[in-house]
Amino acid sequence: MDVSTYVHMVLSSFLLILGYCYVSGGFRTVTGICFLGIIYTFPSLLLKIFPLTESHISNLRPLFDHPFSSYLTAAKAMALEYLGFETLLMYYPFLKTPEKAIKWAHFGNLFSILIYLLTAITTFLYYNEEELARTIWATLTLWKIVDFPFMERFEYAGIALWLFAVLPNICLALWATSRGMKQLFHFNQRYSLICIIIAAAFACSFIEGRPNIDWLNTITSTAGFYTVYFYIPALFVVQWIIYKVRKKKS
Amino acid sequence: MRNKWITFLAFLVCLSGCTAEPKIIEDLQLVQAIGYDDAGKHRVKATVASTITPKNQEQAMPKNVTFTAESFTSQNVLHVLQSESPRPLAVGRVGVALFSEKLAKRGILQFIDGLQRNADIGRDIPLAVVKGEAKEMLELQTPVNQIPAKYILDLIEQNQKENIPNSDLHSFLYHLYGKGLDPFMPLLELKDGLIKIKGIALFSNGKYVDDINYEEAFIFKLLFENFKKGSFEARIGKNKYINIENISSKVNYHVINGNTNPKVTITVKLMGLINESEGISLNVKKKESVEERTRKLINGKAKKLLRRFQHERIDPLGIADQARSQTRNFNFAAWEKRYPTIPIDFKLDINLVEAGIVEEKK
Repeated sequence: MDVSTYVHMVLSSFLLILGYCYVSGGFRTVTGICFLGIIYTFPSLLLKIFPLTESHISNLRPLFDHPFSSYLTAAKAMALEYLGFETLLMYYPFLKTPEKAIKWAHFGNLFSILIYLLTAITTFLYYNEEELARTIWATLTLWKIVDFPFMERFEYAGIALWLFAVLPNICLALWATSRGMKQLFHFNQRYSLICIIIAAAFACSFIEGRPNIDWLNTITSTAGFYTVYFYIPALFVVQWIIYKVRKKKS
Repeated sequence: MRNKWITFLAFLVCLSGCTAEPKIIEDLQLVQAIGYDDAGKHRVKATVASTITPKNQEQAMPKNVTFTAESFTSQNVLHVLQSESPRPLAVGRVGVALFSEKLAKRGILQFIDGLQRNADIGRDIPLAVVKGEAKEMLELQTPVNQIPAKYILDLIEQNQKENIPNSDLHSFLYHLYGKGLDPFMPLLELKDGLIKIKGIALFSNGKYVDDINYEEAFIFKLLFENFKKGSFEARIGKNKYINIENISSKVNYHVINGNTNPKVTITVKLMGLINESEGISLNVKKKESVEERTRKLINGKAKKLLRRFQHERIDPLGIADQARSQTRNFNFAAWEKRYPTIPIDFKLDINLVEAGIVEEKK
């Protein structure tokens, strides 16, 4: 069996098995890997120093040279990057002191916004518009300028490090999905988890090449956008009305 | 417990499939430099320079070896080269890419594209145009007993700190794709068994169209970026020359009416140090006159350079990009049409602060 043909399947099943190990350990283990994911990947932010030495300040000007609608389109396209916070609705009952956690949840969101802002500004300073439009993985290509005396091609190490950015997301999503199935259908969480993993591995086997990944990203982004901005608020309104009606009856 | 063992076994099965072909660094032929030459009829001749360490010798110096092959595309040529090398060629450590003058005039977009698509090649590698053949340069026995690839890399890096503008693969791509910018790279020459920087090769759409010499490169650098080194010779009278070392130079572009009636003002603030001025007393009054003469000299050269770029319709300094950043809804097409006739003013604010460790007798 030639590895390169099936490499994405090998990689996805490897990640999913790893995901199973973490999720089957319970929610505590999932929070553990999420925490470690932050700790391990945080130093990679320092690598932005390398591209910043070749930055062009004039790329940022003139400020606000686009119509307002362009900003909205951009914000919609960013939906994929912000997805994931809605899993809070699943693990909220697991928090020990939810009142105290509110502050930290907001700080957490602010922190990811700041990281995105820093990444965006670094990227705009380093590439110009036309060059960026031709780049698929902008941050990964940023790392191609990283120059360490002991490491010639840093980006390969960076990709390995990126596993720790991806793994917590996989674990948290797997946990939330299996938990949701348990609550909805009263399935055993372990069995539903195995079903989800098999389904995910099966789905991954269909992904081939860049256009497919792009398509997947767009679909996830659009679905996520409507879930976050329409479905969840709608649920909130419906729930509010139901509670009002029930109160009146009683 | 049983579950754990099952997972463990599953890992073993999966991981055994993950053994991609291992690469052992001692067994690779690490390519240090690639040179591209024109081979006629749309063909390219590539030369890769690598090193081998002679075995069974104590304190053996790495020896330069080159492989040469011809093909139509820059990436296929790497595979053709493999047919000459008993060890696998690895391009992950390529330090510099050279293009022969003839090939650069034909256009190098295809080879640049090959370099940027190859994930193994970094974006911080310098590129250079070579007068004559790149192959010849990579086969050179350098006087300092260093392999040519390393020699060229050091040469370019050192000079980019001083008299020639910074450029590497990334900045070439930046200038190539960016609107209102044209790329450039250092121009090398092989002379009397020495590799030497001749100046800068200027490109228009991936074709080498013009070059400027080493002295003009300093003026170019003044106009292009802020830097802290380099030196300049000024004639301040009949058979009287002084040398001015740059301590700090800052450039600023100011564009007004970018879309309607553009006017560009380039201001350079130069802090210099006079390090050779035999026979010229440098009192306060004299210092001012020296500054004035230097200003005039640099002014003239810079304006000549700018007019030349306008005449040739190339913009390696990225004046249009500066105009874009200072104009709302900038119109590139209108600018390009107007470019040769746009008035570009150059102002030099020179301040000579020191005159070395000796003093004139008062």
